[in-house]
Amino acid sequence: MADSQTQLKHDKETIEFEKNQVILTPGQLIMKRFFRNKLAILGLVIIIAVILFAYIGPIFSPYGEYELFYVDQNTGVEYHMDDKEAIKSPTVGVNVKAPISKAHILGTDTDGRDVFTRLMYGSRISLEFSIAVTAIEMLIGITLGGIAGYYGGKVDMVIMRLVEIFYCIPFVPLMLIVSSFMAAFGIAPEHKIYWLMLIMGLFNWSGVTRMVRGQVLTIREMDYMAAAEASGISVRKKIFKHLIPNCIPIIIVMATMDLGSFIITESTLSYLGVGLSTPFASLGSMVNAVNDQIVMENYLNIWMPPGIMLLLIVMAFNFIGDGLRDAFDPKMKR
Amino acid sequence: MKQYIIRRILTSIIVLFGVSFLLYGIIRMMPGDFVQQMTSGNPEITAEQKEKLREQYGIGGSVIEGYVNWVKGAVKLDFGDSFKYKEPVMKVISERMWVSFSLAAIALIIELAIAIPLGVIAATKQYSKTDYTIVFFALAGISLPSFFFAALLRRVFAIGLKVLPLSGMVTARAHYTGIAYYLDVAEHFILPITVFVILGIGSWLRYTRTNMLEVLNMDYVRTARAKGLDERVVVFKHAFRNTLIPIVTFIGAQIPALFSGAIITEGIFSIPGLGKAAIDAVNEKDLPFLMGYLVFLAVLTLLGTLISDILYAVVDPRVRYN
Amino acid sequence: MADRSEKAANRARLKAIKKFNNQKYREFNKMKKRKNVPESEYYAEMRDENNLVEFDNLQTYFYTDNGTVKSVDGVSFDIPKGKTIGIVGESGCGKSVTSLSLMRLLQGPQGQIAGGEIRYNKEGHAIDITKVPIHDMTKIRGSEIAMIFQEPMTSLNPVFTIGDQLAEIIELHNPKMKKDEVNKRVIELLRMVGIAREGIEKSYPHELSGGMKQRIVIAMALSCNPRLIIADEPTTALDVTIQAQVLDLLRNLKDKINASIMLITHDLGVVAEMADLIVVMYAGRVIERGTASDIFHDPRHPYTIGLLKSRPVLNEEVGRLYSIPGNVPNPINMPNHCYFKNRCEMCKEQCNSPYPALRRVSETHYVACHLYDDMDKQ
Repeated sequence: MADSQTQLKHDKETIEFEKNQVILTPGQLIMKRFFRNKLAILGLVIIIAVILFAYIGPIFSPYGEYELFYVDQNTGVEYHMDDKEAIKSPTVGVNVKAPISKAHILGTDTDGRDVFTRLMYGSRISLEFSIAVTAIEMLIGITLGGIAGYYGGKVDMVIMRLVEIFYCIPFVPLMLIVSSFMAAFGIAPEHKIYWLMLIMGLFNWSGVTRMVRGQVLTIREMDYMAAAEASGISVRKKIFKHLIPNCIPIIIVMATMDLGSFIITESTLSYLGVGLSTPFASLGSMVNAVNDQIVMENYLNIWMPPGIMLLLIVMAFNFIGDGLRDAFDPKMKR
Repeated sequence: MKQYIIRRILTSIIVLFGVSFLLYGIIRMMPGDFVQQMTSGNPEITAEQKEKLREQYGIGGSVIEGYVNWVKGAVKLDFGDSFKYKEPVMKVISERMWVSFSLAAIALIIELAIAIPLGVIAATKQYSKTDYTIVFFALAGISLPSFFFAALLRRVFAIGLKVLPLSGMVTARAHYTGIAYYLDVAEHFILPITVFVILGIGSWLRYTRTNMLEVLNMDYVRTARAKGLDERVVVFKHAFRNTLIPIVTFIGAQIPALFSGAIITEGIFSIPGLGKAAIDAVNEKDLPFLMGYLVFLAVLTLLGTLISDILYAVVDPRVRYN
Repeated sequence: MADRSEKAANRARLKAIKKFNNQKYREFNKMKKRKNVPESEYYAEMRDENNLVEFDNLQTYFYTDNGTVKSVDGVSFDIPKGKTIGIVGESGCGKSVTSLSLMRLLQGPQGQIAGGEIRYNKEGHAIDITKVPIHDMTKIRGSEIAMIFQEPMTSLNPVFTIGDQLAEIIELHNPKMKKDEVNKRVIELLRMVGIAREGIEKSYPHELSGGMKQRIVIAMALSCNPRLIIADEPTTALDVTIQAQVLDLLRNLKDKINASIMLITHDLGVVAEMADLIVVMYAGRVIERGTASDIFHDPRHPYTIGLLKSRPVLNEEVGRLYSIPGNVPNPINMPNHCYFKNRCEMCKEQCNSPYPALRRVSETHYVACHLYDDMDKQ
């Protein structure tokens, strides 16, 4: 009797004890480490806010991306560009560089368009553009890197030489040339954006390939891989159960960081006037207005907001990428 | 070691052929007479120049033939004459790269002087407020679009406060000589260098911090502590010497790139370096210069990797190439 | 539903832990940053002048995200002068943490000495190591208490020659020594550990084998004639023949400089060969201690008995080696009863009562087990 009671108490204690032990899966650990990083959370918050601004914002905005505004110099009454009758009046001109007002939260730009609304569309196009480029880059990079790392030998050598070649190609100058070609070709701006995406993706995969190959090689050298091979697992299982899952962290980190850097590249090209152009409102081309010294000096509302927006988006991606890198790194103590 | 370097140089040459072929191919992808198309907007180009170009780029034949033709010139460092400067491309590049270099080199030195100590401090105080602050500013710097930051600086210091010149490398029509000239240049360099430094510092800082963190967890650091060494000596001698290996190789890799010129920054501040020349060349469709410039950049990149690999062997006693 | 509330409770618990930890970090940090601590504050009185070190109820905790891990929880034992003491236990029982506490080399901010004293019989006046300011501790480390680490492969700095690394510690603790004297001492040390090959001091660690590296580490530890050598599993990473050589070396050198050795190992064979005294640890506590003969010939604690049974013995026919069932418990929030209870084959009713205190079974022999509760009455 006493014995069974002891046993019962004993078991209960064990259960209680086990309950107190929290064993986290690797995924949970990564999540925990990520959310403990304050900068990473800040980045996440910024990105969510920007996405809401860029996608939900236009629904509430009364204006469109390319809408021009006209103003009657005498009365100060503003007309919309669709108001064909009113804008015919000789005293009515395009409402350029309008100051900040209730109607135009950030005023209008040098062409008479609402800056605030264009900011939404600009952020949207920047995000979409860089996601597309990253996707292309990753697709090529991961495939080639995986092949090079997995097969090794001659295949590896050929791919790695290719990587070196593409790594040596100076990207921004080349883009400048390619863009001016496109102008010479007479490619419509609506199509140019897709060409730009494709070309940027095609010329940027070398870094990804190098990383993925390195990672695959390291994993292949690991003892657990030797153990898996010794136990006779199939090639498919080897790739999908061991190689790919172990490459994912590095790929996610790279993709996040690249999302940010492609936004910078795109906006730089747009700033130089060879990237996205009308009808697309790119943040880079919006900042471009600063080349006019009068705008630079007096109309901060035209060029500052897109610049700050760019900074925020890129910074957010970098914060998240950095947080992920730390979170994925098992060597990090916390 | 010698063998290794020779082998590396040989592979680099092969890669260089690949790069130039690719670049040539891209330019040749244009349908029809691309020389005509490229130069149509430029009235300064004479018919004679166009003819020479057609010859040099071998328009008539196949891509391969044309490429061989181009290589024949390139091997003799003859990339043709720049439209804009009416001088051999190599001459333009070699004259202008020093301006870019001095700008970039000064910036690099400042970056390293700030980033390395801060990176070490951030690593030793991982997860502290100091660490978070340093990492925050490092990442923010990396995220700054150069054209926006340059505009901001110009607005504040040149237009707003009127303490620094807006652009250029020397004050126009001032014709300073001697020390006054250098002071004038220095004044003009402040803003562009600030752009370089703020944008570049982050990656150095993060690189130092990551490597330092890794080293600080090593057993030999614990051994150094167990020896009774002061924490300062442990960090700055034992740990830092090991962190220095990747940093030095990274610096080595950057040195050739110092000559490449910064297209955006030089363009905005109108500094007559290679970057400014390149952007002018794009605007003026200066094809020979652009092709030469791209190859020059590719050579610099290859040199960078080569230097970093060699330095790695020099700095790290564990690495011996055979 | 229940799942969700459980999750919420879990989250709240983790949050509470975090808050608690941060508070603790701040406390310890404040203590660490104090300057100009008067010496009298860390003076201590040795219980026995013949002891070099006395651990007294040492508590070393790790404030982790999942809760406080009591890695060392109330450990007490003495290291007499000139003797070798073996600390035995399986991985994670707190033996390494005990030695790191003595060196004050715990990985901060998580690892902290939360209580107890480590009295060190310093020449002049005994001091309490746990309270010594870190700056003064550096004068003791390496010169009076030296440590040999487990991993010879990674314990030496790869970018300095072994000569430089040896010279560094000699110069550090003998600032008046001249350069050539230091060099002479380096050569002498290398000869002492048996690797006096011409010019070897100019080689880098990666050029040496594991056994040689461990000899260098030993030479480093001996360089300032320390009074105590902590050897944390000095032979685990080496192969068997080298193991024997290294142990021989250690034993001979100890006699030469008349130091005490604190030998940490999970290898009972090594202890049997080297130690005068043995401390058996389990889950952060001392469960049995005594002289080598006490432990080997008259083990009392069921765990010690199990350990000895699981050891292969020559000239004895055994079907299968004994293994202690179960695993070492996770050391967070351990219930207050004997930690070995769940694995113990001699468990009885009393074992549910609070953790047993160390009980004296003979002049030199102590054990913490409820089996011996009645000893006093006898």
